[in-house]
This record gives sequence, structure tokens and C-alpha cells, in this order.
Amino acid sequence: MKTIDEIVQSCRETIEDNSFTTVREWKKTGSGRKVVGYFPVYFPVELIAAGGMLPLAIFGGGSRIAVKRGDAHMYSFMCSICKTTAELALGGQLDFLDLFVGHPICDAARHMPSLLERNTEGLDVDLLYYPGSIAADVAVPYLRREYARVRSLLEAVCGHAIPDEAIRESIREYNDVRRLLRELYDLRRRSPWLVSAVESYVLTRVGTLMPARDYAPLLREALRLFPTRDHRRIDKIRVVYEGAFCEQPPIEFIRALEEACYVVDDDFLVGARFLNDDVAMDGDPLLALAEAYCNHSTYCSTQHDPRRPKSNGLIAKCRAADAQAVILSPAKFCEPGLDDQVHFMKRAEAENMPNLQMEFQERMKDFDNVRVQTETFAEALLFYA
Amino acid sequence: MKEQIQSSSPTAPPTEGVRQETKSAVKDAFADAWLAKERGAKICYTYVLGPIELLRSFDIHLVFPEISSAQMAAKKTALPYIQKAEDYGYAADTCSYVTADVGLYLSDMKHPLGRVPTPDLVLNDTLCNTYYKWSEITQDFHKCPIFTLDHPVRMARKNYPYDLEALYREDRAYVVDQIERLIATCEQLTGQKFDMDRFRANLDLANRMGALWCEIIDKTRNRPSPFDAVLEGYNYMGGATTLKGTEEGVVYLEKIKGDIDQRIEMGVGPVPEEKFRLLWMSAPCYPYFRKIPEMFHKAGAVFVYTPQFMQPTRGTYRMQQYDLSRPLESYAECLMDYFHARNPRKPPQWSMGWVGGGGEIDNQLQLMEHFGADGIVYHAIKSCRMNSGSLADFREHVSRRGVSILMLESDIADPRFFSEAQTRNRIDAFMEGLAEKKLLRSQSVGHA
Ligand code: SF4
Ligand code: SF4
Repeated sequence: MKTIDEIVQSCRETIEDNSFTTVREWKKTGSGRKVVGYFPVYFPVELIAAGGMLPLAIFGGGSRIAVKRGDAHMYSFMCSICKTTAELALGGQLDFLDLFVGHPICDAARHMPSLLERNTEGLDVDLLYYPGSIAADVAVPYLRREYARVRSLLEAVCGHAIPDEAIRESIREYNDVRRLLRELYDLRRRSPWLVSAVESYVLTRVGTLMPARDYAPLLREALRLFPTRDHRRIDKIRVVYEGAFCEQPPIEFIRALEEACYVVDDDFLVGARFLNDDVAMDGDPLLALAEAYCNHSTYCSTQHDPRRPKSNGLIAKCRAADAQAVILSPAKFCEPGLDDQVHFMKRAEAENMPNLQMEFQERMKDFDNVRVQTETFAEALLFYA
Repeated sequence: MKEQIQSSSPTAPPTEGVRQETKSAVKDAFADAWLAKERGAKICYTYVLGPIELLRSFDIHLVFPEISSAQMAAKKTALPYIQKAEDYGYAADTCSYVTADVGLYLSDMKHPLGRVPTPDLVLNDTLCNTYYKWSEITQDFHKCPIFTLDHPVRMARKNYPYDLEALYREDRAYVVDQIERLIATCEQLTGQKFDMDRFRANLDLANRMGALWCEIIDKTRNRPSPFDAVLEGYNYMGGATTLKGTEEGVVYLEKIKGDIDQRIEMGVGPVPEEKFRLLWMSAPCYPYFRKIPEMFHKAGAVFVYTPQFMQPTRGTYRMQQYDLSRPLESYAECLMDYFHARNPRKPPQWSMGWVGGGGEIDNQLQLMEHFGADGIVYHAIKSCRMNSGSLADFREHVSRRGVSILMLESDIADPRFFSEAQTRNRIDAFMEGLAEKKLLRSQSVGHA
């Protein structure tokens, strides 16, 4: 029986392995196994899994990769996740993928599928096009149709039909995973001294590269073990972190924040938690997934929904987490994140919610600045409190 | 604007008429917008490839935020606006068209060319993802509704495990559905009933403008090229976009065509002796709009084409026309097909490299051949990932096919990212290389 620290440590090793050893092994252990990679933020992983394939989120190479090809093929002022994803693909590290699907979620990411197509012989590439405005009446029927196209694409990869029933079963498994992730975040909001932001990050991320049926028991075990810890509450401010919906900061960055505050909620890996509720399991599963995406999803900087300003979502998140402040920190060169940072900042100011602004980059190596800024911010808040 | 519209060369015949046309087309648009607001017309902000002909059939007054920011930049007045936006909180890495526009919002809407009215509607489309953010920002400032006209993007593949034709028909139905909803939105906004005949008439005007435009941009195939695709071409484009779908637009392009024909007859072009012909990829650096092409002119080089020339027609020189017998469907098709090879059923036109895959490279080689070009200048715009994202990759691929490439870096509106000395050095080195290559080629032809 592993301790919770051992579980987290082994998940961390898995997510930091740019060779995707566990995924390659999964592929080898059964005949005809296929892996479908997708670019963040969100993908209806249920469709991939329903075909008996492994959905794999490609979050770039993090800080553990030297970018050479990425720099040669991509323009300087592009966010890091695009460059390191290109680096992985062009360096052959994604050669085990049977299909890569990108999304035109932003001006940087829209270049990715074509760029990979030009440079990675043998890698099958396509894109999933989400509706421009999820508020439009036409959005759900459109997306249902788009999911049907993606199903055909996936059927061509796995070599057999993906029936509705298999998708419903897959939805059931992922509903389970989403419920467990909600529990993890609930626990962290209630008792951040029992589960840190780094730990919840690692546990969420590992789920983006393993089958749901193996992942759910792991989450269940972690949720059983966290409350048994003998950790005590200490006097730290409670903050919500916002900005890492796509590119992810290094773990050391999250740790540096946590030295000074309890990060009680965040948007790390938000694609894994994109749908707020269980997806309906009766009726047309593609329609249920489309409906969930358009009408029961979280807000996100790469999603356009004129029904609700994104800051409504952020403020609601801060209130639900009883946060005293918000850290607004998009990835460097990330236009959607940088633009929304101002939208969030102005709203936070209007709501008298103290906020700290900074940028991060997945490849950053020095965290002293992050530490100092967060400490100073936290101290000022504690002092004024 | 003044800088942009002056004639680029003493060798060209007088072009005062056309210059004045362009100048007043753009300048009048600012004055007209304010007057329109005062007389109670509804103001719609839309981006340059938006459904202009449709909006015009409702007497909605159009404001183009991109043209507004480009004008600020070209008049060398953008920086204080951009800095205002930065002081407000925007990052220097944000699209500088957006920050210049935010600066305008923070300046009581006072633009160097006149006061800009606030919007009653923002019409957003899928050309660039930054439009989504830009329209949200505009909504934050002006509390106006946003209508998104979405046209799906499909990727070119070697084979399709789905029915591409059926997909295209379904996508078209999706776009038509939105156009119908847009019509309902405009009816509600203006209290005016949609008039199909009027819309059809606007499409007819757009077709005439499109045909003229296609003729104009193909005239650079003449030697010498009668005009510079950057220095003059972008001006023509600004005027044509502002006047799209109008009688004035047709007259405007006819004047340009007449002027160019006259130059062709006289055998004159932007430089005294045309030695090199180049393609320009991506948008210009508006703060140094004149300076950069002139650095090329010094070496006898002229720009003969930029793929952005498709902007006024929503097509290329191989443009397609609106089918007036089925206006809504045909309108949807043009929105879907234009500019970015959104429609993989056709060869890529100019897709900024994000849907055309390897076809992009062949497309550029075809452009080289069609316009008899000697090389390509890629302009990487610091704050525009949309235009610049694939340029480095294009350079890798296209240069492998033996094409001389120069990569320049600056920005579309922010003057802080332009280094004159560095740009000059790179251009000089590039031109020397081109001259050498040409010499070698002529020598080897001589030997053969
Ligand atoms: S980090 Fe931002 S800019 Fe980069 S791909 Fe993601 S959304 Fe786009
Ligand atoms: S195309 Fe480039 S310059 Fe134009 S709005 Fe988009 S990001 Fe900005």
C-alpha cells in the first residue's frame, strides 16, 4: 500500500517524463492499441476512449526540454507551449501518436496543426473546430455535428465503429472522474493544509495521460488518504490562481506561490474539469457532450460566451473558495490570457478583491521573483487584515 | 495617412486624383461616422472582412477598428494611445491594434482623424481569434451587444475519413443560419425590414469591385510593375475596404485602374529602373509604412504582390463572385472560402499556414512564378501571432526550394519594435545576395 506522498511522487515522475514511457508501455501491452493526442484546452476525451484508444493531452514539454526546432520553425513571440509541442513533435517524441488533433483556440494554436502536418512525416493531424460563440442558438447542433465528424475521424484510426453505447459507457467513466476531481477541489477548498495545489495539480495532470478506468481508483485512493494526514492549518492567506488554462506553469512556480498562501482554487488544467456537471447518459451521447460544452462548462479565456462575462465566473469561484485575493497570472505571450487579465483585474478592483499580477512561462527556471512578489503581497494582506 | 498616399516615385505619372480619392475615402469615413451617430444611425464596429454588404443594406454605419488603429499608426500617433492602454493594464505583447483602440476608448474616443462614435453593435468574425478578445474588450468599455458570425475552418488532409462535400454543405447551412439571425438582429437594431433587393444590389457592387480589384492586382505582372504592392497597394486596399459594396467604391477602383493603365502605357513604375520583384507576406509596419518599402526601392526592388490583397474581395486574384440568384448561400460560401483556404476543397489561397499544410508552400511558389518574383520578404509582426505564427516555418520550407527569403521583424502599430539601422542592414545584405544570385544565374545562362 503506497502512502499519499508516494502516490503523488510517482504521478509527478509520470507527468514529467517527456518520453511518455507509461503511454508507450500502455500501447505496447495490447495489440492494436492507439493513442490520440490533443492540444489543450478541452477535448471530448469520451469519444477517443469509446474507441478503445487512449486520449493524451499534449501540454508541451514543460521546462525539461531544450527548444531548438521549436525556435527555428516558430516565430519568437509565440507562447512556450506551442514551441515545446512543436519541439516534441519535430524531434520525434510524439511518434507513437496515431492522430493529433489541434484546435484554433487562439492565433498561436491555430498554426499548430498545419505546422505539424508540414514537418512530421507520418503523423496524422486534424483539427476540431468549436463554435465561435457558445451562446448562439446554432452552437449546440453545430457542435453535435462536429463531434460526429470527429467520431468518423477516430473510427478511421481505431479501425472500427464507435457506437453510441460505447460513448455512453465512456461518459459514465469520465463523469466518475469529474466527480472525483470536484471532490479533490472541494477538499482543497475546505482544507488546503491537507492537499496542496501542487498535489492536486499533479493528480489532475496524471489523469490526462492514462485511461479513466485506471485513473478513477487512483483518485479515490488519494481522496481516502489526504484526510488521514496529520497536517495542521497555518496562518496563510487564501488565494485563487487564474491564468493557466492552457500552458501550465512549472511545479516549482506553484510551490513558490504556496510558500506564502493557500492556493485554494485555480484554473490549472481546466480542460480536465471543463464540464461542470455530469454529462447526460441517456439519449444521443454526442448531443449530450455538445450540450455540456456549450451550456454547462466553466468560463475560459479561449471560449467566447457573450451571455456571461468571464469575470462573473472568477468572482463566483473566489467567493465559493472564500478567497481573500486573486493571483492573475497568464502565460507569457498568451493573447487570450493577457487580455482577460485586464478584464479580471478591473472586476476584482470593482469587487474590492485584492489582486496580484504576474506572468509565467512553462520554461522559467528562476522562481525567486515569484516567491518575493507573492510573499510581499501576502504580508501586506495579512498586515491589513 | 498623408504619408501613405503620397506618390512613391517621381517616375510615376501624376496620381493626384487617386491620392485624393483614397485620402478622402478614409478621412470622410471618420467624419461620416460621427455625423451618422448624431442623426441617430446605428453604429456597428466590424472587422475588415466582416459582412459589410449585409450591414450596409440596413443603413447601419460601419466603423472598422483595424483601419482606425492602422490610421493612428500611419500618422505616427499610435504610441500615446498604446501607452494609455498599457497604463490601464494591457501587456505590450497584446495585439497593438487592440491596445491602440483601447487607448482611443480611454481618450474620449478622440482619434487623430476625428471623433469616433461608440458602437451599438460589435460584429465579430472568425478571421482572427484576437477579434473575439477585442470584441469582448469593446463590450467591457461600451456595454454593447456582440454578434459573432462564425465560419468553421477545415484542415486540408491527404484523405478524408468523412464526406468533405457533405461537411461543406452542412457548414454552409450553419453560416446561412447565422446570417439569418444577423438579419433579425439588424432588423431589431434599426427597426428596418431587410430588403433582399438592396442586399443583392450591394453584392452586385461588391462583385464589380471584386472584378476590378482582381484586374488591378494582376497588373503588377507587367514589367516594370506599375505600382508597389506595399506602398500603394495597401492604400488602395484601405480605400476599397472602406467603400466596399458601394457605387463610390466602384468609381474609386475604376480611377485606380485608369491611373495604373496610364502608368503601364508610359512604362513607368515606382522606381526608375526595376531590378528586382518581391512578394511581401503579412501586414505592413504602419508606423514606418513608407520607410521600409523605400529601403527596397533604393536597390531597385519593388513589391509586386502581398497575399493580403485578397482582403477587399474575400478571394484571391482567382476570386469568386457572389451568385445573385442565391444571395445568402453564396454570401456564406464567400465567408467560408475567402482568404485562409478555409475550404480545403480548393487549393490554398493564403492561409497564414494554419489549414493548408504542405499546400501552403506550393502556393507561395506558384505566387512567385505568377508574379515573376525574385524573392519573398516575410514581415513578422511582434504582436500579431495570426499573421506571423507560421513565417519561420515557411522560411525553412520555402528557402529549401531555392527561394531567397528575408525575415523582417517589427510591429503593425507599435513603433517601439522597429530598429531602422538593423532593418536597413538586413535589407542591404538581402539585396546584395539577390544581386549576386541574379548575376550567377545570368552567367550560367550565358554559358549554356
Ligand atoms: S497558452 Fe495561450 S496563446 Fe498559447 S496556445 Fe494556449 S491559449 Fe494560445
Ligand atoms: S490579425 Fe493580427 S493585427 Fe489583426 S487583429 Fe488579429 S492579431 Fe491583431
